[in-house]
Amino acid sequence: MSLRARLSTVETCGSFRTAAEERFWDGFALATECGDRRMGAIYLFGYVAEILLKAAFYRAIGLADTAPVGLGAIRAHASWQGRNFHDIRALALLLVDHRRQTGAPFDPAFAGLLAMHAATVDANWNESLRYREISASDAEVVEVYRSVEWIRDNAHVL
Amino acid sequence: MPFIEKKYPSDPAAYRQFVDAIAAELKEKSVMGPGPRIIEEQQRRGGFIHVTVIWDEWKNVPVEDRGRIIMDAYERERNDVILKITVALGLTSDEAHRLGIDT
Repeated sequence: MSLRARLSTVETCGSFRTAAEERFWDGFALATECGDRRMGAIYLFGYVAEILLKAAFYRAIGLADTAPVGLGAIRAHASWQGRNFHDIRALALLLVDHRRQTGAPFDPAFAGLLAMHAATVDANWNESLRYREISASDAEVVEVYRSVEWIRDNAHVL
Repeated sequence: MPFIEKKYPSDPAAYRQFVDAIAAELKEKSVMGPGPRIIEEQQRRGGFIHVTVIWDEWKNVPVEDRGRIIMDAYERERNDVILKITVALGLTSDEAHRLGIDT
């Protein structure tokens, strides 16, 4: 059976978090590999941030770990202002806004850190990087890694 | 082992000085000057506010502490909006520029 045939047709918060963890270590392997694989590392790290923020949003709207998730919930949210569903800054601010509206706001200083780390990833990444020929510097990969690591470390409270 | 220097002292007096400086700017609302640049961004819904303070004096202050300093300054000088603030973020001008936040 092919890999695609083995894929579950249902995506859940739980599967998102597992996938994020796998992509994080894939990215880490590229970041620490000899040879210039830094761009690949950043490409994967960006998706880790995106997946974790989406999982946090789905949990914030009340979905259980095993419940199916979909982009419709993001699209339909009145606070959604993303340029597309990979917009990491917008995903972070959607989460901040939703938490505030539902009476479970983040501490504003914590929300500031979330916004900053999302903006840091966004400043270095978007989904179309896969089409581009560009090298990343050590400083860029470290910057993205640190911000993704912060989001990952705090995923349980997002 | 790498050498790590954390310059910001865990000194309450230093913390208060940062709070004082931002509170003073909130009071004066100066248009020009070297002080902290405070950006209050009204949100589309609910009247909520995102506050970003761009200030090169943040350079030696851990990012984890900056938001708390901003909130303490607002609590003192703009208590009327404190519950409307949903994001409080402090950045140096270089950091703001890198993140595309400078105005």
